Amino acid sequence: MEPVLKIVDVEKSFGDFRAVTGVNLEIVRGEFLAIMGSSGSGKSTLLRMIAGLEAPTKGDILLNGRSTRGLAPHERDTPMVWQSLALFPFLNVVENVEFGLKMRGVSAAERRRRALSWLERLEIGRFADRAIDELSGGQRQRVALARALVTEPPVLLLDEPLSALDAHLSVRMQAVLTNLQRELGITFIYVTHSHSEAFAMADRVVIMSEGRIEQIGAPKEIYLRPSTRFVAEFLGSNNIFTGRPEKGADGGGYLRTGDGLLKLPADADPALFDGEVDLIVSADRIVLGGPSQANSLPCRLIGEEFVGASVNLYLETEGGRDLVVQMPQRQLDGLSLQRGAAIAASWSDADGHVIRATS
Amino acid sequence: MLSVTNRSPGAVLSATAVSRGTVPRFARLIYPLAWATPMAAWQTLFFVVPLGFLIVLTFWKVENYRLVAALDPVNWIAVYGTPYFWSVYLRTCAMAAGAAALISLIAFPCAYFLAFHLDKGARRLAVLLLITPFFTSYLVRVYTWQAFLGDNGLINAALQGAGREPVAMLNTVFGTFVGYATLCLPLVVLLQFMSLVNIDRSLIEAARNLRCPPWRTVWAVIVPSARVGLVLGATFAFILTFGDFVSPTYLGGGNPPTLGILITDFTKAGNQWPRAAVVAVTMVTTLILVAFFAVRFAYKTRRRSHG
Repeated sequence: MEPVLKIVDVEKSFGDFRAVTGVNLEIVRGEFLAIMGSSGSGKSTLLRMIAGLEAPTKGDILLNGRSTRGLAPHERDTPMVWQSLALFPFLNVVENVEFGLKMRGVSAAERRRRALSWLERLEIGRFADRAIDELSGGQRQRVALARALVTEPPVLLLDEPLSALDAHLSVRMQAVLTNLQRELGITFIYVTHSHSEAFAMADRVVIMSEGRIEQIGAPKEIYLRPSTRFVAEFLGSNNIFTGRPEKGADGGGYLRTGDGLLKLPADADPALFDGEVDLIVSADRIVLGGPSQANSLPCRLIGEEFVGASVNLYLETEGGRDLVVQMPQRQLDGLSLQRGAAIAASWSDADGHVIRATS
Repeated sequence: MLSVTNRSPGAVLSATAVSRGTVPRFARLIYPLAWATPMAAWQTLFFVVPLGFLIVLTFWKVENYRLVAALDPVNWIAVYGTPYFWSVYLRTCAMAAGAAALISLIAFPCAYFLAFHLDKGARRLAVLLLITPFFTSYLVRVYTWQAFLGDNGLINAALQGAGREPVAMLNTVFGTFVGYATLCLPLVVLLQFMSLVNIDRSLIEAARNLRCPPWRTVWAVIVPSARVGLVLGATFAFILTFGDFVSPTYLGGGNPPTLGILITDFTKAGNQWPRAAVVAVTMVTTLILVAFFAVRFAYKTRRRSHG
């Protein structure tokens, strides 16, 4: 499929600082793409370059196959939803939504009609005559969305639009966004630092760090097979064992660690076996006190942290390393664990994922 | 971690609760009053009281060039009954309004440039330079203009040197307006700049993003966002020029007169302090009304559209 947006070797420097470097990315029509990274990773700069608010130092961004080099922001069709929303405080709700249409020379009656129909669609029609400062955070969010979508653009850019909302409202707006995106079939490029937003909504996730793309993939793929140590750590709920792999008596790969030998998954790339590797095991793949599996480490419980319906357990192995195990709340109740209690943590070798260790 | 952050606001709350319990009520009242008193005393002594006296004075009479205390509306009738007074009044209003509009228009590109096209260091220098005109007395700066604008002044000497006819600039309305600009322009630029520089840049970016060309953002976003500063700048220009005596006299030649000149005429001719007071009270009232409506317009709550 022809990409709506093609980012070719884009680099952006501010003085000596390289905000974005060597970024290549193709985004197809109707895709919901999330760009994720911590602050300073270059994700917002990349989005601003797509909108034309920053010019790339090198490379090009193609919109519908055409170069955008030299195109000013107002010459592109890339409306954006700002983190601060950037609604015009001197205009009321419907005038804010009409703004983009007015700039395109749409007649007053026509733009009022279209703006009102978008407000209706986002269920805020009754606030059309309100001032912006008379609205709640969630209502403003919808005004910002309506203002960006009223011109029915091929691409919508969103810069952390939900970060100012509380958790409950954020989840509701996520549903609004995904439904809209599916109904309209337009491309959403969504910048966020939140895993839950990115993984819940996106078809594809781009993880950025220090101006580079670390990994691109479907949420599940990134979650199951992080391609770099950075991604594994960034996702937050991974255990990473580093060591030198060796062949076992059974012909399988093993990793020598401070806690003894750990069995590597059978599908691990043999090409990696000549150097140090990281074995990544997701916290929710580890079982406590269950029937013994290929890898089993005796541990001591140090602490626990409740994350909604699930719980993160922090353990220490006999070798002295930390281990995180995630399990549903109900399962923990069945275990009746005391702090300091000894218990075996085990996982199937197939649940491990091996990458080359970064020195 | 969570419990710590939860505790601290509680601790602050209980601390204020303690202070409320122990500090006597009157002491809590006296503290802000102590700060407010000097200002209130100053205003009472040097504004309210003289204004009251000015109003009283309008009802006094002049007999044989001497002021006599009275309660006679004769001065009001005499001044307001003269078409001449109203023509001077309207002219002064028109000149002040014209000056406010003209100076605002001249100031805006300058303030815009300072706010949007200079980096922080250059901006600071520009603000400093905008303050420097206030180092010299306005009167001195007006006298300097005489040397430039006079029939044999620097400008006309240069014109004649170039073989051109001299142009009358001193003792004209043009001269007065040069003086008005000298009085107000730096202040208006400063006020406009302050409000322009504080505009949320993402609003301008959002407008560009919604296909607003750069030149159009000025009217669509920047002017409405900076409305308070722009209106206050124009208001200051109106207030300062409306009551100005120096420029109309020394650069405008006092002819046609403004209200300030009319006041001196009344005091000089026949010692008519009460009639001068009538003019003064009219001026103060006008300025209070202008300031009131200007501030109301500047801070007007966002309109609702109906349609």
